[in-house]
Amino acid sequence: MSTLFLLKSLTVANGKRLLKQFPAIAAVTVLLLVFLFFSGSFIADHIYKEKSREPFGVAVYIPETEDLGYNELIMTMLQNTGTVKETMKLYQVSSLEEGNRMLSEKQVSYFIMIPEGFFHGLVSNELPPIEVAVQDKTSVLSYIANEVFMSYARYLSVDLAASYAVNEGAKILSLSDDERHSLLNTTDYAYLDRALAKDSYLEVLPATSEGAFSLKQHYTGVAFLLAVACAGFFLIPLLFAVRGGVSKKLAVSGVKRGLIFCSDSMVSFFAYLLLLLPGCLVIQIISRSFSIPKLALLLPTALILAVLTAVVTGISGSPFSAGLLYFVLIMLLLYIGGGVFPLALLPKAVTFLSGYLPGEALIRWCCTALFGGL
Amino acid sequence: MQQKNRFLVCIKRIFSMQLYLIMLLLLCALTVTYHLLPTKQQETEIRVALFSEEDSRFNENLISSLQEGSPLFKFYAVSDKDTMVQDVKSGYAECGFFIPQGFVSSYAAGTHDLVISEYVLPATTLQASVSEVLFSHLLKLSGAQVLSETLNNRELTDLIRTYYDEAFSTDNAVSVTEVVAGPYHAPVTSKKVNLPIFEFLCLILVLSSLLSVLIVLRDEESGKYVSLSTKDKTFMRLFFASAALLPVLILGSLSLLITGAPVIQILLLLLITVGLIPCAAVLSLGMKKSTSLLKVLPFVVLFTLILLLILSLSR
Repeated sequence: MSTLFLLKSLTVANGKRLLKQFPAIAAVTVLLLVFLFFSGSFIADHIYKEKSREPFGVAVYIPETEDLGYNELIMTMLQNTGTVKETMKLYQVSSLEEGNRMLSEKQVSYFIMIPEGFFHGLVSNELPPIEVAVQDKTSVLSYIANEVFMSYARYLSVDLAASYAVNEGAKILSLSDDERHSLLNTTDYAYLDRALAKDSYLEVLPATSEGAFSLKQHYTGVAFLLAVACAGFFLIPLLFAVRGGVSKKLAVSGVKRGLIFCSDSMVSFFAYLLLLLPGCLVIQIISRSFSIPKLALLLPTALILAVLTAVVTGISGSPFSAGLLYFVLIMLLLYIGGGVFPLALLPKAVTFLSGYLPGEALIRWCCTALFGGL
Repeated sequence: MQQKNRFLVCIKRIFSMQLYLIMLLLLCALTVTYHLLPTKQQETEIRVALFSEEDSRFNENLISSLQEGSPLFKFYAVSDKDTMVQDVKSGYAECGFFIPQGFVSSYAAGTHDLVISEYVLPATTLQASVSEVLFSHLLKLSGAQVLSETLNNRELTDLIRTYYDEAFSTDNAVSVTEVVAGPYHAPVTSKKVNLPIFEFLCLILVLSSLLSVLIVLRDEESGKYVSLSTKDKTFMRLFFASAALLPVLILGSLSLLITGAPVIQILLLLLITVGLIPCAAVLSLGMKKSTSLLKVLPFVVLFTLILLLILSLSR
């Protein structure tokens, strides 16, 4: 009997058994995929713990002798600033005593005292320093408030420096008062825009995505891969059964292990491909990322799973131990490849290993085949 | 006496299973590892990663300005965007900023063509304060450019640059009395590495109960219980389940005590064990073939693993 004939006979026998069981395997895979998809969605939503920081109190004192219009303007501007809204609660106090009392009663952590003549100083460029009192010099809250208000002071300083430069420049160029005022107004508007409309120069993005894919897409890819890989639990007993049935014949014919391995790999490859292709097409259609060329990535995915199945079947003594070994290997591959926890959360040694094992590539190929984008 | 002997036989047979012994040994190894692991010192510094595509002189100025001007946030430059995102994801940095090439010119002109990307996690709480600090330094460094672009007056531009720099060296800038105690000294916290011992114990309990079911099913298939009455068969089912689960409970409780787990976890372990004994007995009654159990075993383990992961994440 030629080797090729033996290989063909063995593969056909395996294939026939596989086709009989395939509807059941496909049904279990679909059920498993649904369960894993919902589990993956939950994990994607909860893997990065959410934290919140309660806004802390900040008292502001503006002396009554100052222009009331300025007072209101400054308070409204401060209260409407995104950073202040997010991190603190502002209280305008009517006296220094009130502010100090709030500080000692721990109602506020930070107390800003605007000195008399401050707003006039903005025009005359003779600014008295702003006084600040804190509840605790070493507390992180004091530092946060300090960072925010020092930033505002920096914005103001930049504006003042610009106004000074414009004034001095206008003097040298002998510009009229109207021209100078017009230049100063333009300057103030420009700096107000940079300081208050900061958010239009900034986009806040989640750092949770895994490569080119969102965390939800990543875990959908993992769910898809795991559901298909679990078909191995049905394939292993099937391969064992065929081998058991013809083992004597094979022994008499002197068939080598390599031939059985090839046959097992081929049957497993087709089984995995039969599960991967329609599953991927359905998900592509649902996620509206239909792409035939991307499906080519399912070939190496199916091949790696098939080789793993064939190797495990070849080295194990019973379907039970083979199934268990296959399970452990698949879970290990997924863990090291970032399928359970994102790679950034894994220990450095594991991250190092992931570069040498196919887990990460398998997940990436599945995600690319499902959602596109390389 | 007869029942006692039967129970002892059950224990002997359970302990003759290699897989069962391996699981118990793994539990012991995990406990010893936990005990030997040194306490990890955790710094609570608030780091901010920065990757800029602008020219190197501007980047150097920005980083040094941020490092000198911020006593709370530790700004540091990274060599590429991926490293910045990885640092944020791993929790090393509170957040990360990406400044695209040409941003400063666009910012100075106020065109909003290019924006800075701030990468955050759901756990990031200080993104607004950090971005405020960054933008104030950015405006300080690009202030003269903003002025030149805004006024669009060639004659003024050169004069403006000179006077703008002069203004910063004089005392007419806004000054705020420093109230914080110099650079922020983040407290160093000690933390033991968290090993999933309780989750592993739950998994062993489920696997042990399934192994006991497997033994009962194989015994029934080989006709070992033919001479036993229905009552005795039920006892055998319960004995096997107890023989498999009780050693795990005892060893597990000890392991939890050694690792300093809360008492509630030990009580929960007891509750799961008590619940699994009748479940295993009922399962061995309901299942016909040991091969069927072998087929579903990996799925049961997979479901258990995923449920444990979900439970630990929702805690």
